[in-house]
Amino acid sequence: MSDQLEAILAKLESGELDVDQAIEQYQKGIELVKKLEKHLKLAENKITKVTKG
Amino acid sequence: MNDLVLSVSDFVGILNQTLENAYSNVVIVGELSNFRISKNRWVYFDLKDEVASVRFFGTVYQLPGPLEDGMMLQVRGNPRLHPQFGFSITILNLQPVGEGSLRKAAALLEAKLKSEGLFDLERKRPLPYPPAHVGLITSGESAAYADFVKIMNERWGGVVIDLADVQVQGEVAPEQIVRAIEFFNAHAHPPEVLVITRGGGASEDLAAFNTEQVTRSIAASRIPTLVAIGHEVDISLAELAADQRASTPSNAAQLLVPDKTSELQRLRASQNQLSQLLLQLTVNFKRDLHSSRERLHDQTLRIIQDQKNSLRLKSQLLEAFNPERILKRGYAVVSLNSKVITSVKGRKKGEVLALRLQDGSIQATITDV
Repeated sequence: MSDQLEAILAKLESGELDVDQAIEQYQKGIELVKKLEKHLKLAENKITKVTKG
Repeated sequence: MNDLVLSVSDFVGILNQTLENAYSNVVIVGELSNFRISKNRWVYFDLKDEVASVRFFGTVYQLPGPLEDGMMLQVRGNPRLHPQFGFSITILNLQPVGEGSLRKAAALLEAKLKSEGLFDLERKRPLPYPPAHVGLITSGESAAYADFVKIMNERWGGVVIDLADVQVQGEVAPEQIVRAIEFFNAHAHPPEVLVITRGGGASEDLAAFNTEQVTRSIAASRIPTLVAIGHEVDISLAELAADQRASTPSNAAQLLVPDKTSELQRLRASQNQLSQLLLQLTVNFKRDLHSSRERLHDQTLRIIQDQKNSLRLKSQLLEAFNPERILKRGYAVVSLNSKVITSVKGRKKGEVLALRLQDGSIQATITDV
């Protein structure tokens, strides 16, 4: 997901987008930021003891 | 006197029986001497001290690494009297002991493995950052384990950690560690990285991580490895063979995953960057639009101006041909019976001509031609 965010930022920086495309990318970017924030705050580690072969 | 009379074989048999009953498992420490390997399989050496020396026999597979006369070894074995070759102790297990010997063993092994390229920088693979699935090889009851997990939980979430609980010191440690590495490597869905770790300790405690089998197993692992041995001085061979090393279990967690807090900060920065970019783009679009509108306006004005100039020029040209101007200079348009005449030919005395001047007409009769 953070790779996608990087890609969006790169596109916006490139200056190759028109107004409509820029707005669309911006909205997608904001959405990703929200998802990543949520994931970071809530995710927990899961530890399992495995039986050796 | 009634001594028991035995055949030679019987004696050997009885002695071995006695040895098995009384000393089935002896552990002896002594200085290595007369060390030799035969046919790349059989190992023969003596352990000696100031006054005595005992022979030992085993296989190369039991060696923890290359050995040299003079090193102190601790050997677990079974004493026996061989029917032909005399007394020797059959090796079950052996390891160098004492600071000096351990270091010597490690030095020898390091040289051997280094020449094989096991520690080359080019072999080292980058670790996934962050990993989603980690294989952890350590002692489940140790402080190392507790520290690693604590720091992992503080820094990051969503990681699946599979723990292989092994001995990290003692005789069985090397075998258990190797088995754990092989277990993870053979898995249908292997972890993305193996973390092999233990806390600090004396040289003897860390010996397992200087054995040939553990070092080779780490080098051969298809899964990238992160080895963290807490220690004061020397780096273990296991760490040299690993893709990455950390100084402590906590440090391993720090290298393995990012810090939640700084990641959240970075996200916030990305969010600001997004807004900034959009703002900048909007400003640019507006400016471009304004500039385009101005150019359109200027261009249109210029075209109109050109047309006007062109028209004025043509008008002036046309004006030059206006008959009214000629009349103003005193010329007259002469006509006879409403027809304009331009020549005296055919004219007679008495004919009445109309003379049109700039401001009116005169009737005139020809008196002379």
